[in-house]
Amino acid sequence: MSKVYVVGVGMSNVGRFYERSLRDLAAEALFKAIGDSGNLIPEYVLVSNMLSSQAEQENLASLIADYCGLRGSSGFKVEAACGSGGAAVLVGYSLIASGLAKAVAVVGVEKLSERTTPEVARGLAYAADADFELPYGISFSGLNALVMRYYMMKYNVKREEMSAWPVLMHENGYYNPYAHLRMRITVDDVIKSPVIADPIRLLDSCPISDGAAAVILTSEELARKYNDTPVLIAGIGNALDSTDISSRYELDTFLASKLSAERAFKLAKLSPKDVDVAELHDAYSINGVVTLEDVGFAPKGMGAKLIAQGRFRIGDKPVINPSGGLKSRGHPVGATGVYQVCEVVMQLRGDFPGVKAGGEVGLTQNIGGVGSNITTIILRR
Amino acid sequence: MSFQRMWRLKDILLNLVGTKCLNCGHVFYPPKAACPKCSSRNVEKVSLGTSGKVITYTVVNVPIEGFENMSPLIIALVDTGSGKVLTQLTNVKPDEVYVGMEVEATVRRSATTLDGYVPYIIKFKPKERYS
Amino acid sequence: MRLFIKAWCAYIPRFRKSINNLLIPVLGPDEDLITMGYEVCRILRRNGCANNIKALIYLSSDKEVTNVKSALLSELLKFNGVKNYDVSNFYHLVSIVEDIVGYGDVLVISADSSTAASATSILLSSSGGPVEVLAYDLIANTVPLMPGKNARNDFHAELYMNKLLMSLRELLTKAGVSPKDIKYVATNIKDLKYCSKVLRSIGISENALEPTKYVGKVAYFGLTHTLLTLIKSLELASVGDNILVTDLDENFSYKVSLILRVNEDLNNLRGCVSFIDKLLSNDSVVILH
Repeated sequence: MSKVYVVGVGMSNVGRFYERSLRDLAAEALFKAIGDSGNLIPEYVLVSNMLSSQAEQENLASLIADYCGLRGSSGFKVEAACGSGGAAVLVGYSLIASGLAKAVAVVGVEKLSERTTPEVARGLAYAADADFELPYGISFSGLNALVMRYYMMKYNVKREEMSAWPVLMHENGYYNPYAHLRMRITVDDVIKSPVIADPIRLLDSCPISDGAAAVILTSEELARKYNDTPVLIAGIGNALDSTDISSRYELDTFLASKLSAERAFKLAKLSPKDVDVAELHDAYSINGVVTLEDVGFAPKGMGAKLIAQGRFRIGDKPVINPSGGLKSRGHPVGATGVYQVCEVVMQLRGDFPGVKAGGEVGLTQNIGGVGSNITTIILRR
Repeated sequence: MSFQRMWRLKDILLNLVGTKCLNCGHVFYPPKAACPKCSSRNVEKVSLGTSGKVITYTVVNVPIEGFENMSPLIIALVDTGSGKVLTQLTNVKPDEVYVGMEVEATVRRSATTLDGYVPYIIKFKPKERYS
Repeated sequence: MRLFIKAWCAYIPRFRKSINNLLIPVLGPDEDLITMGYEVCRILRRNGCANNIKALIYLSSDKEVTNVKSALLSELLKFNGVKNYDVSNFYHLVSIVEDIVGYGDVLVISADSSTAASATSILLSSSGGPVEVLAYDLIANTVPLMPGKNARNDFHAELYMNKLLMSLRELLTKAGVSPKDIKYVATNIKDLKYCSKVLRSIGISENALEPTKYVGKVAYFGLTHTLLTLIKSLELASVGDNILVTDLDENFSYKVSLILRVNEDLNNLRGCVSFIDKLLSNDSVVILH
């Protein structure tokens, strides 16, 4: 198998952009990434997205490739709910690793600001079980709330301790020029914010965002030609769990988080203690906390408590979510996984424009559904 | 939720039909074509119990489209003893719900589907005592 | 052929609306007449009272459902091989029971939400039960033919109440019960003044109206009103008590009366009864706006 390198990254800002269209955002990210790669033109355009059907548009690879002057190239949409980005990078990786392609662009894009909140909430709930869970009107936040209550009761986690997560996210996101929500918040703000789905509060939840991010992947052969500082994808792994929450074996752990991380570490021949910087998927505070433990950075039940005690900031190992995570940087659903890779690549290159964590080894974990489709990527300078 | 889909699922949703694996004995809901534990396809339908305990729950304040009239929506994971069920709690106020509460199954209206159909589904309500 | 009541149940939602300073029971946000019918039978079924049902009769004020409602209910309750009847008034109900109860037990369900929400179920049998129907009569009033919406006026009231008086006297004779032995009167007559007048003329004590007054104080329950007052009477009754049940149509187009006698101690039936006081009370209700 050929080695796979990231030679270019590009991101749009994350926010609500009524004047920007889906294809427009995608073009911005793709052109930036191609430019950043020293102008390596991709043969494949893989598009990661979850809810373009709400904008009545499918067939995104054709749309975006052609819009960006790449008619005649190859590609398709990759969908894995909110884990689409990571999954698309995995597909791109396999195209390079197998030798089928030499240059692949993975573009994540999401445009949610055109629909009302209940409509978006319903769309996100499609990641759950349409036959057996949707008829009850369960929202995505509701499903995560079930996990949060269970986790907090089981490990005796106080509301203040759980609130440390979003506070840290905003601390970091404050410095990230791409981030959607760049205000600082306090534990008190979190506790007083409106209840979305008890016990999840507004400030536990990521915002509904538009955004696009792109990476250019290439083989070892071309990597150095186009970029002085290519970053190696050292390991990559994906795992699935049930879409329904009823048949899960455990509620306080995401099987897919553990498995995909194990698979990635195995391929990379590394372990959690080698990771310097990580971008985890905190759609809600509880996801960040649970996967912090499942990936192997904290013992089960200790995630929130350790964050509350001041761990995982600059100077610690690993630094968690220096971009501000989904909470502060934002969650343009299908694009998030690609944002995470862009951010970690920039951290390892030393040119991330926000909180600089640096390091040799980085990790991203992108989650679809309530831990049902998870891709973990390990990058290395 | 379309009319056709509700019709197809009616039996399962009104009788809480789960699956039992004849190979390893694992019982689970919702029903599947093969056992998630041992992958065996030697499975059969089984009805879950009609009462159980609340394992965890939430009160959804921000409804998804179509459920705006059912706020606040109480969703719970109920352990029936033979499979866990994600369900709505009805006939109860949010502040009366607690983890461990005993509940029993009953039939209630679901929200009108986007194509105008009103399904009946199983929901759970606090166990009534007839002493 | 003898007719018995084997078991019964009532259901009143825990939801209330404030109308003219009264708290009236109303349907919850996810309830309707069918789900109330389901609730009220589920308990009977769970307690093993409903194992030999041959027919289900559903009396309701439902205008919404287009299916055969009794069949819908039978399916939800998982009754197999049961004959299903939809009826729109008490007269129909009793006349059908009369014809079919010889073949097997009949489950009668009534549900109404037009003025207040409630449902009742009564299991009738020809084989036996703790309460026996000693006698009953059914009268359809055809004078004038095709009465219009405002048929209720003094002429009809007079004519009708006289008929009621006569038929009740005959019924008492048929049942072998003297007026002073009627312990409870269960009726849906909204105007208690009328009722008292008739009872006084026959010689039934005013106190007999206790269950009717008790239920009527909460609300007027429409099609289920008579059966609710009957259930309240059963919850008050002891062995040997006689109960007069009278259901009148608002337009005086029909009248159905029954005289029942309690033959067994009903306290032993806990689990098939309904705790109607608790249902009618306003403890732990949810007030909708």
